[in-house]
Amino acid sequence: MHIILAGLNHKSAPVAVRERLALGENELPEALAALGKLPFIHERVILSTCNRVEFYATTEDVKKGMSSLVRFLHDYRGLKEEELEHRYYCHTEPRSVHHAFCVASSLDSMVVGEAQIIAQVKAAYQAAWENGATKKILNQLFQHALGVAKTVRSSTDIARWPVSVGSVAAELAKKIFGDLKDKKTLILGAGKMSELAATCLARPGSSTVLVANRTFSRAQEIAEKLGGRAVRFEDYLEEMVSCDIIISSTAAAHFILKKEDLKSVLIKRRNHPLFIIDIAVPRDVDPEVGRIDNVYLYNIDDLEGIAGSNREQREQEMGKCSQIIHTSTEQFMIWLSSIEVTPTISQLTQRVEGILRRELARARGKRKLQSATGGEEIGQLARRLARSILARPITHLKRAAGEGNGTLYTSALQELFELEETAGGKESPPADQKETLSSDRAD
Amino acid sequence: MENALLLVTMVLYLLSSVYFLLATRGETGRLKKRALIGTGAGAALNLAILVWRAVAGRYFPLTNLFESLSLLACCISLGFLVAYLKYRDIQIGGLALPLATLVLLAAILVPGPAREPVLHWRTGWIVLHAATALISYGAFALAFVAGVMFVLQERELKRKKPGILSRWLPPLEKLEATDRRAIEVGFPLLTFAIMCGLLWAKLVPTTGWSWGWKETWSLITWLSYAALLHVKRTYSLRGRKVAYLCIIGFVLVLFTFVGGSLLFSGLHQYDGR
Repeated sequence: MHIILAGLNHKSAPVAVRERLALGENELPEALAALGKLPFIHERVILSTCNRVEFYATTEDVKKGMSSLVRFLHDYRGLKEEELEHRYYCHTEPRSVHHAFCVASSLDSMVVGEAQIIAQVKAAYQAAWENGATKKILNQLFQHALGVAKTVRSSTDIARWPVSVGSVAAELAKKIFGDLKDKKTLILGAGKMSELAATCLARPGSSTVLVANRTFSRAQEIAEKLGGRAVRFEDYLEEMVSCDIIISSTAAAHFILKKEDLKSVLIKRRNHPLFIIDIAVPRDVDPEVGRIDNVYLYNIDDLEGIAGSNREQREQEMGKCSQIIHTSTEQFMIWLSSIEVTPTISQLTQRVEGILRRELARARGKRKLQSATGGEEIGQLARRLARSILARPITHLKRAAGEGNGTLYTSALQELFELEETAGGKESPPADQKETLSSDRAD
Repeated sequence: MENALLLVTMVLYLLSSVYFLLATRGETGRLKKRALIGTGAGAALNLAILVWRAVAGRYFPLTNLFESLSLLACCISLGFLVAYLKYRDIQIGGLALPLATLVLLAAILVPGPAREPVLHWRTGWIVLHAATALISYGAFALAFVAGVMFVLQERELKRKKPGILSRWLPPLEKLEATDRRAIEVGFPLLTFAIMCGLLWAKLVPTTGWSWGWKETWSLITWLSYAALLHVKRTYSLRGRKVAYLCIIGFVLVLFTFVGGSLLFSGLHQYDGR
């Protein structure tokens, strides 16, 4: 069995194409069912997020299975050949396995280290499982993928440092104030960025948000969105006294916060620290303000600089993550190739065990195995012997499977031992029956 | 036997220091737990050594340099544990525990004969005096640690290029709160300690206030912390300046404590006189 994958992501296709192929949660059962009906497709999982649409499946014939997948990619939303050309990718194992692990670990995401993807992968797997679309192989693949993702996130710094301006600001606020719970934020001006920054700061629980804008109605609009209160713009200096975080993005062409203003505000605040984020261009806050004790002034460049260096840090961590994923992929591939030989191994073991049991019983001279204990002892002995005999050959067989020679060895074994007869895992006939047969023949 | 226990304690403190420093790098719960357990075990052992002395000799083990240093190390590690329970910040451990380790190392280096308890100092007000002074030193040591961290953290934030340090150090407000609390605990204790000392001096007819090293520097230290508190209130001093004062204050404490014990003779000399 092979694991194949066909899909597109934000790197291979523009959003216009991706959004046409995206599947909502409620559309998954139907899609999974449709996919399952295609020839050469067995297990399947569909992962659809705003940044990617991917179809994972198992197949016994890579070529034919892949063409089924690709056809599904085109047909189920009726996209034309030209629209999808060069915009999707196809992988088979080990690349498909590697890709699955990378995706789950957020290495393939737009923002490396993002936290959402793991939940999305989990949901996709869950949906497929609930609809009976997965069996052993994809179950293992996705469970492993989620495990690898957790390892990557916990043992590297890939997700540690904030990479967006808003989250950088929130981190800084936490470095200054510790707990943001009862801190007040004041937004000056009505820019989009200040809204974003405030949302980041309001999320961890900074309770009060005040909004001041020259146009009071606009201030009210924003205040409502953020769950805060609007104040008159003229009062901003007074309001600042009770606020700990100031986000300024007015359209003013000059400085609205000057050194002297801040000094008097600080005195009124009894020198409690103040965190000012100046996102306006041209700047709202006189940079000299940053030199006042207990005032921490950051402008948009500073925040971007930090975000940028954090992004670099994450990129650096990628090396470590690749290592982890590489090792995990190898391990998974060993497992995958070993299941190819598992049926043969169990058939062989049963055959040998059966033979041993029969011969041992005969050697003991028990023609009629009435006593249960006698039968059991022989059974156990037979099993142990069979295992000892086959231990080495089985190890080598698994190794050969790992190296890609599995089919060669299994077909040889099947032929040599005539294992086809007991294919399907049928139990060898019970010992006493065999005894009767052989005794009839022997004598 | 005592030496062996001391070495074990020091090793525990040292290991905890290392774990604390490593733990904050990755916030690994496992390292944090080990560090805390190490600190707890070390502090318990430290305390046990002192209690053993106390029980064996029926006195409060604070009569010589060795005992002072041991008790100081114990106070620092216990003080940290109390601070942790309140503020849940393990980063302070990264500085407090190495400090405790060094202090305990100093204690171990005190030669055998100097470890003999000095009968003179066994009872009464003198014990209370020494004990409260030492606990106040522990508090000031924590304030020092928090102060250093504050200065480092604040500098990085002001420079707007937060580097490794600022990621590792606790938030400014917490450090400042630690400073405040430590001094609020330390200063009254020091005041009480000095008063006990004076009271004892009054009771022992042969001595009065002598301008020995320790006495003088204690006074200077006390005045400094008093000034710190006063200025803080009057001028609403916060932030970096408070941190600097905490650092200076502890340097004075060191002068008082170490200088008085090692260098000069006088009322506070721990050599049996």
